[in-house]
Amino acid sequence: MNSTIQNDTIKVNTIMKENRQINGSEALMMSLVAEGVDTIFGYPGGAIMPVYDALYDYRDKLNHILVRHEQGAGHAAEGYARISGKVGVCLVTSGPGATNLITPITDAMMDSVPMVCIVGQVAKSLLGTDAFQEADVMGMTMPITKWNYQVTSADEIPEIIAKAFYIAKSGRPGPVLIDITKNAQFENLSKEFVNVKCNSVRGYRPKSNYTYEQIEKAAELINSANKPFIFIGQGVLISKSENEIHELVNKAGIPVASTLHGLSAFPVAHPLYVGMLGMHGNYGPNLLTNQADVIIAVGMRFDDRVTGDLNRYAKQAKVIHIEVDPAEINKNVKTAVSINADAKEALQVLLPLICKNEHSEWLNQFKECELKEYEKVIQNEIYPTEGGLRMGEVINKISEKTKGQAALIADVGQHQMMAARYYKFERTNSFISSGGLGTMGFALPAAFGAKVAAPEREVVAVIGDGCFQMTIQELGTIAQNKLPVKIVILNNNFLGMVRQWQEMFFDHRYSFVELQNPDFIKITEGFGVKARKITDRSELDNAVEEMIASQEPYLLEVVVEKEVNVFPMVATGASVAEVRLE
Amino acid sequence: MEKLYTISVFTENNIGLLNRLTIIFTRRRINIESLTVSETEKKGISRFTIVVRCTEDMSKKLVQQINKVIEVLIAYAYDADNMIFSEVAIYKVNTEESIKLTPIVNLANEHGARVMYMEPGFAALEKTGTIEDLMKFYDLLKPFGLLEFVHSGRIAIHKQRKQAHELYHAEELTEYERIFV
Ligand SMILES: Cc1ncc(C[n+]2csc(CCOP(=O)(O)OP(=O)(O)O)c2C)c(N)n1
Repeated sequence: MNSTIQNDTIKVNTIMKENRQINGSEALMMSLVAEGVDTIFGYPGGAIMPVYDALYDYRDKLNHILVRHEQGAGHAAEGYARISGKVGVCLVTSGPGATNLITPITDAMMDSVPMVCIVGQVAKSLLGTDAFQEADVMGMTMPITKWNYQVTSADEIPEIIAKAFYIAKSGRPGPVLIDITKNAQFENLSKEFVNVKCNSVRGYRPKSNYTYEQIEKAAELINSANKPFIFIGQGVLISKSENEIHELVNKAGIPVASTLHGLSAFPVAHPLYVGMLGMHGNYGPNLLTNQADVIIAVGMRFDDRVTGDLNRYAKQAKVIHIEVDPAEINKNVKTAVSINADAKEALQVLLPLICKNEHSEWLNQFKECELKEYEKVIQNEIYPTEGGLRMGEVINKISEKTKGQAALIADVGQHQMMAARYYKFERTNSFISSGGLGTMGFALPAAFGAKVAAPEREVVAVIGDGCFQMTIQELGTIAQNKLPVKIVILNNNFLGMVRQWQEMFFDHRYSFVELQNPDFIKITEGFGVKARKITDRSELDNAVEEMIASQEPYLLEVVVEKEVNVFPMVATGASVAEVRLE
Repeated sequence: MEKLYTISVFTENNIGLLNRLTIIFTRRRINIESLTVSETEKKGISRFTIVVRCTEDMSKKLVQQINKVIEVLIAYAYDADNMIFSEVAIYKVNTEESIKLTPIVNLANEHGARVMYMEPGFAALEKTGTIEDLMKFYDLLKPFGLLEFVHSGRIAIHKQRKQAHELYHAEELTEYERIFV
């Protein structure tokens, strides 16, 4: 029994001695505490007021962060969950409160983020009557949640909350939504409050399901391969199998590349790390995917942003897929061996069967690609000698000044890809971004969510001028809670990523992508957050240093070159082998 | 190659589950040819029988997605060779000319159909069988004047000795552990 539960036990016992009845809202508080929740991101309203009332008594146990928009609550919970590996919790009212959560819930579903959303609903007697602020939240969130459930009586609360947390965090994690009718919030429990723990659900078995023969076959393929290639995804972070991957890479001498979400699971400086896969990934990993003879994919799902044209993707390779979600196996890419398992567990069984090896010729091919990419793209991006500031050099500077130790939260667009490409991650769980849904406005709330979860870490949010304006109001949350998040706005006065596509594929027809931006510094200062703007290369070093040194929240606006493109690029519909350097 | 697959889904009997399941098909633009739901021999457990026309690969992917739904105990896809299936149809026939009555009743007897209801002017016949059997009978009745025709969705069970709940481990798990009382 952990101490929180013990404390709660004492509390329950006192309540029972006092013969005081507890209502649904208080039962909810007790259940959340029992689940180990310490932080809630939320926004109140009529249909959730009994819960907020109960929260008032639990302020010392449950740190509630009042956001400025429910979308912010959702993304903050995602940032919190991804950096800590714990479940993120949101609390919002019915109707518009719930619909504002739709985007982050979808985002969490796509990116496998454990989240529990607690939503108020009109009283049971009013359901289906188009009552004030009634919305069919169950219907709306069915396709975007791992599980959802409507609670209509207080007695259900302890068990449903336990079940919600179990489902959100087990197997392939995901968002769970619990819709609680108002009557269930204020009515008293008809039976004694009992704290329950859920550890299995009938029909839902997030267990590994593989045979030793499959592992043997995988080992055989790996040991006899000439050009083996390891792909790592977020599954490595979720299952905490960084060490096992490290051992596999070192032992078998296999180059390793990461998906966007797998970034930081493997140190960038390692000699066998060859870079990022996918649309704006590195040249070598993309090109050589179509030359590898054995691909070992761990905790990644062959998203189309990674594979490009599936009909021309890695056809020559025997694919070994280690994946916890059975529905992802053979979904996009046919496998030679599939291992439906938690990555850590599978790798631990696999490792003893792997022979020591090296593949220096194969590695040299990556080195050659790297050199080519460096000369054509990287050098000019991180060490430009003329023109305005470039996104790559800003990221590179942040990387240097933080020694690759910061947690980087990127929004969506060119700056996101630059952050992913040029930050030299040295520490695990250090890159958080919206990959599956590509949600603009993600980074600012996700960054303070991450900071709440890991106050000891340097958290740097990299945000485009377009994205910033989608959730700019969350500066208020950051200021009110004095969260020392560092925010870097890379301002190119354009919706840059869209502009790049218009330039490349729509004949330079810049249709509605230029922004007339506000004075970000004044706005930020208006919220009570320290801010500085730079436009010149000579100021960069000092500005980044000042930002990192700050003990308070700090926003640095960097005015960058207006029209720069992110390369390499695998155009939509192209094969990974057609990766372009210009 | 596309053909008909019958997907059997065993679920908890919960509100909203029909919606959760159909979303899986509509999202992938797969049309549901027929759908039948009822409680199984185990209380609280429902069985959905869903017929779709798709490729074998798609039928497997659909089953994998259905199996991900939390309240789904288990789902399987079968092609026609591996199951026993049936549908039921009701035919409303015009009997205004009373001389028609005897040949209609005879036809029903010959084809294992049953007269469910009769009154001056029309009769309702019922027949079970595969959709082919039902349509054959439909063609035979047509010359007499069919007023209405309806057939159910398919119901199906697999050709194995095992009981369904042995497949989905109905008794296997308890959900909650009481931490203290
Ligand atoms: C909510 C939302 N709307 C639209 C898009 C499409 N989109 C993707 S990137 C992008 C441009 C982002 O612009 P900015 O934040 O300035 O970043 P930059 O690409 O210039 O670095 C847009 C509009 C999206 N991903 N999300």
